[in-house]
Formats: sequence, structure tokens, C-alpha cells
Amino acid sequence: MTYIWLLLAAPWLGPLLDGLGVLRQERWWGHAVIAVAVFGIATLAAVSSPALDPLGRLLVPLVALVGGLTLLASRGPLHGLKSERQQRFYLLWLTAFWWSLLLVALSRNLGISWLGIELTTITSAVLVAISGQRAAVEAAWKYVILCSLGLLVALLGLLMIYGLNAHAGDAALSGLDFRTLHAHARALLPGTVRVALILLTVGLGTKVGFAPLHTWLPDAHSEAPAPVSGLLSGVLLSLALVVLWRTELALAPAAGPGFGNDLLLAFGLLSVVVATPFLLVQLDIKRLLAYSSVEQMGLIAIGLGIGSPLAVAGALAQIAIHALIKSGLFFVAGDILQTFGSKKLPRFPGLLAAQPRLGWLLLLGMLTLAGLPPLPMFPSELAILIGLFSKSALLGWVLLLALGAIFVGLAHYVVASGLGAKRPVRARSAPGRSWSGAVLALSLAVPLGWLLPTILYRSLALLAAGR
Amino acid sequence: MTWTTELSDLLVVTAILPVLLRRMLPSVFVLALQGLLLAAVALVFNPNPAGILTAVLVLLAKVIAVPWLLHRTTGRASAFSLAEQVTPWTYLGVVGVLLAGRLLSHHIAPAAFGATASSLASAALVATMLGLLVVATRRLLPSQMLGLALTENGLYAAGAALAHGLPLLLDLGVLLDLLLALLLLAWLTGHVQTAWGHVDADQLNELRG
Repeated sequence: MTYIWLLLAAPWLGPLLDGLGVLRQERWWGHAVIAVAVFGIATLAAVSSPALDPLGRLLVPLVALVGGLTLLASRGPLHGLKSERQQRFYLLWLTAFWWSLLLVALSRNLGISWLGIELTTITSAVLVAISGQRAAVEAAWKYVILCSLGLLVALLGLLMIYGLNAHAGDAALSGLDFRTLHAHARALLPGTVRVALILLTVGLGTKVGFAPLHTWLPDAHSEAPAPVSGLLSGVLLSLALVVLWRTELALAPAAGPGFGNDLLLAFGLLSVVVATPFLLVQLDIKRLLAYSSVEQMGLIAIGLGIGSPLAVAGALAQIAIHALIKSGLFFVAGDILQTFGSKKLPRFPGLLAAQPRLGWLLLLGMLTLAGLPPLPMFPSELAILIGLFSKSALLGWVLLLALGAIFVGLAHYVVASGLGAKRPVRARSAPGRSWSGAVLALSLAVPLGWLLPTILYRSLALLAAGR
Repeated sequence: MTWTTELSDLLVVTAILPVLLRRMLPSVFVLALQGLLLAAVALVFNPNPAGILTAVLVLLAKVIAVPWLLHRTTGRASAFSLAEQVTPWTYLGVVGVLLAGRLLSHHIAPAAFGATASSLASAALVATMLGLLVVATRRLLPSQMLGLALTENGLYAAGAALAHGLPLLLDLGVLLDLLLALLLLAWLTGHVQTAWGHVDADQLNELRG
């Protein structure tokens, strides 16, 4: 437990030192050191703390890592904020957002997870609106209203589960522990549990960005400062999805085999199919990345919904790799925005010649996101695809076609922006400062992409055989 | 249990009124009344020290803090004099919600929970859906905040009906989250007012595609 308390306290050291006026010129360095320390504590907790379950051991270091990278990559936006007060304000809310994400990753209780997810909405919305520009404020408003309403719908589902528990004699918060729920689920009324699961899927699905509940997502993710977009897109969405999956697993004995899985599968496929055309016509690079997140969440939901060890291993690996790739790409997008003053792809043709560093990072990141072998996202996507084909060939073909279209779309953009014009566009200002975070994120994804699916598959197969 | 039927009926009335009222001031007043009602519900279902504590918390949050915040936000956005539109569709929506509440309540509260629970659960479901209707039909940002608060009030009643209230930590957490969300929305409303010069959601259209 010591590590858990330490982990929940350590991120606040940055804002505390800031508040005491200790950090001034070296504000970014101070926060960077704290980020490394938090990641260290998270890794120790994952290795040795009995308070974490296997899923937590994967997610807690991941959230700490990507949160830390976000702090590192915040050098660009911090540089752009003129006054000291604005810098402290940004770092305070970034820490609060990171902390609420850690809380959700640590939580093994439906009630605490709900509170944590609602908290992430509030803390991240402040960051979305931080530029104060019209589009940013509008995006933040839509984000808070839609996600809060979604979470209230999920709360109704939670209340129903809690009510069933209370009538069965367990009127305590611990009754909502995923493990306890699973143990007692058989005694709960199946019909009511199913209605509750539908409400929870729709409610939490709003936060995950499942189509057709995703309308707030491209706005919020493209208007936030780029490093924050990375944390929103790469980590927050998948965490909400994991909470939904945990709930569905815990209640599976009551709802009947496959009920929750089919919900995940249906929303997952719909999200991939709906996101595809938007990915093909999108010119704004940050909106493109946001729509890609809708597609990726769909893909992960499909993997989790299939439920076979191979597909689940693929989906969990995809969560980790997508977190790294997507945040890395958003860091690059932030630098591009700062360098060229535009997010529109046709405005920076010849990127590779003008800014080789950014050009290569964008090229590699986009091709990874498209699933090109042997880049790191390929093995996990393949596992999910094989899983779906062995469940239903028709659905497998639908997914394969959508993924093929997305591949062509992403590759086209890379070619158009990277290699397009012979006369490269001129940089408007000095290059941004977030690229080092992107280098770190993308290079970490390479070993993970190839090792994680295998490791997860082995341990899941062992678990399945042990049952 | 005594008074549950009366409380349920009053809850439905306080949920319908804000949908049909065109201006913010009376709506906020009705919201505060609904908060008072929920404090009473907390007491009726838990006539013990824990229930009294919850009722006091509800009183502080739902009768004082939230209505005060809404009043202040509306005043700062000079939106007291603005009227929302109530169309025939709004009335149709209310009728639809009342019917849906009747039809769906037994899915939310199974028969095993008893008659009192199911009558309050049905009222709570109606109140929740009417809150959503307010968000869907309103244009002014403060009115959308009102809708969010109404929805949460409905869910509070649902919690009382289904489980005689929640564990204190969860109850406090939900109240706090709602307060934080509304504070944030109030802050954003201020930003919208400065940037656009109005607080009409239908005219916020910077974002496309």
C-alpha cells in the first residue's frame, strides 16, 4: 500500500514546489524530474504491490509513463505561455488531470472508477479551454456537457447494480469492487443487470468516444494544447474503455455469457466503420489524429469483445502501443503547429525537406498507426483481426476493409505532406520543443509492440487453462 | 413508508415545471425547491444520524450552492431577461417522458424492491429524463447548466429509491463532482460571454467537421 499512497502523492510535488516559489527559471526541469520519479514509483508499485491486479500492473506504469512524457513535451506550450501565472496554472491542471488518470488506473472499484472518470472530465476540460480562444472554449463546453450527461446515464446503471447489491444485503462501497461483484453476480436479477449494463455501456461509451456518441471528441482533442491531446487521446479513452470492460466481465455471470461482449463488439465495429470516412477527408492534422482514436477505440473494443485470449492480448497490447504512438504523434503535431502556424496538412507539403526531424517522426508515426508491418502496431492489430475472423468471417472482412481504407488514407496524407511539393514550405518560427518526447514515445513503442502481445497472450492462455 | 407517494408526485411536478418555464429565475427557484424535496427524501428513507447528515449535505449543495451558482452565472451573462422557446415539441417531449417513465420504471426497479421503492423510482426516472430534455431543448448556456443539475437531482432520487441512499463516500463524491462540473461550466460561460458577447449555444459554431 505504501507505493500506492506515494504514487498518489508524488505528482503534487511539482505544483507544491511551484506554489512555494521554489521553481522559477528551472520550472520545466523540476517537473521533468518529478515525472521520472513518479514513473519509477509506478513501476515499483506494479512489480511489488499486492494492491494491484494484473490489469493494474499494465495500466498504472503506462499512465505514469505517458503522463510523464506529456510533462516533458509540455516544454513547447510552456514556452508559449508568457506569464508565470499562466505557466503555473497549466502545470497545476495538467498534474490534476494526470492524478485523476492514475486514480482510475489504480481503482478496482466501480464507484471509485466512476468518480475518477468524472474528475478526468473536469480537470482535462480546463486544459482544453486554456488558450481562451473561441473554438477552444466552445469545444470545452460541448465536452463537459456531453460527457457529464453520459456519465450521469452510467451513474443510473451503477445505482441499479448497487441497489441490487443492497437488497441482497451488501450495502457497502466494497460491494462495488469488481472482484466482489463477480463473486456475487450470480445472485443478481439478470434482466435488471442487462438494463444496467446497457446504460453503463452508453454512458461510459460517451467518454470512450464510441460512435455515434463521439461528436465532442474531435473538437476537444484538437483544441487542447498538443501534449494534453496526447494524454486525452492516448490514455483517457482507453482507461474509460477498460473500466467498461472490467464492469462487463464482473457482471457476466448475471447478464449471461456474451451479453456485454456483444455490446462491446457492436459499438466497436460501428466506431471503426463510422470513423473511416472522416479519416479519409480530414485535412486538420489534430482532428485526423482524433478520428483515428475513435477508430482505435473501436478496434480495442472489438478485441475485448471477442474475448478469446489471443484477441484480448491483442487489445490490451494495442492499448499500450496506441497510448505511446498517439501521444508521440500529438507531440509532433504540436511542434508542426508551432513551426508552421497551421494544422492543415496542405499548408506544409515538403515537410521532410523543410524539417527532416519532424517529417520523419510524422512519417514513422503515421505508418505505425496505419498498421504497416513490421512497425510495432502490426502484431496486436493482426491478433485482433485473427480473433474476429475466427468468430465471424463476415465481420472480419468488414473490419479488414475498413482497416485497408484507413491504411490508404493515412499513407496518402503522409506522402502528400511529407514528400509532396518540390519547393518546401517555409517555417514561420523556430521549431517547437516537444519532439524529444515524441522520439522517446515512438522508440519505446517498438520493443513493446513486438513483445507485449506475446507476453500477454502467454499469461492469458495460462489463466484460461488454470480455470 | 409514509409520505413517499406525496414526495414522488411533488418530485414529478418540480421536474416538469423547469421544462415549461421560459425564464431562468423561476426555474432556479423550482430547482431549489426540488433540492429541499430531496433532503426530505433522504430523511424519510434514513431516519437516523447518517440520514440527517446526508440531508444537511443535500441542503447545502442542492438548495444553497447550486441555485446560488446558477443565479450568479445567469446574472453575469445578463440572461435573466432572455426567454427560452417552448414549442409544441417540448410539450410532446414531456408527455413522451411521462409515458416512458411509466413503461420503463419496472426495468429500473424490479418488483422485489417493493411498491414504495418503485413509485419513487418511477418519479426519479421521469425527473432524470426531464433533466436531459431541458439540456436538449435549451439554447442558453445557463439553462443547459440547469438541465445538468436537474438530471443529477433525478439520479439522487433514484439512489434513494433503489438503495435507500448511497455510501457516504460515493454520495459526497457525486455531489462534489457535480459542483466542480457546474463551477467549470460557470467559468466557461464567462469566457463565452467575453469572446462572443452572448451565451446562446445555437450560435456557437466555430467548430465544423
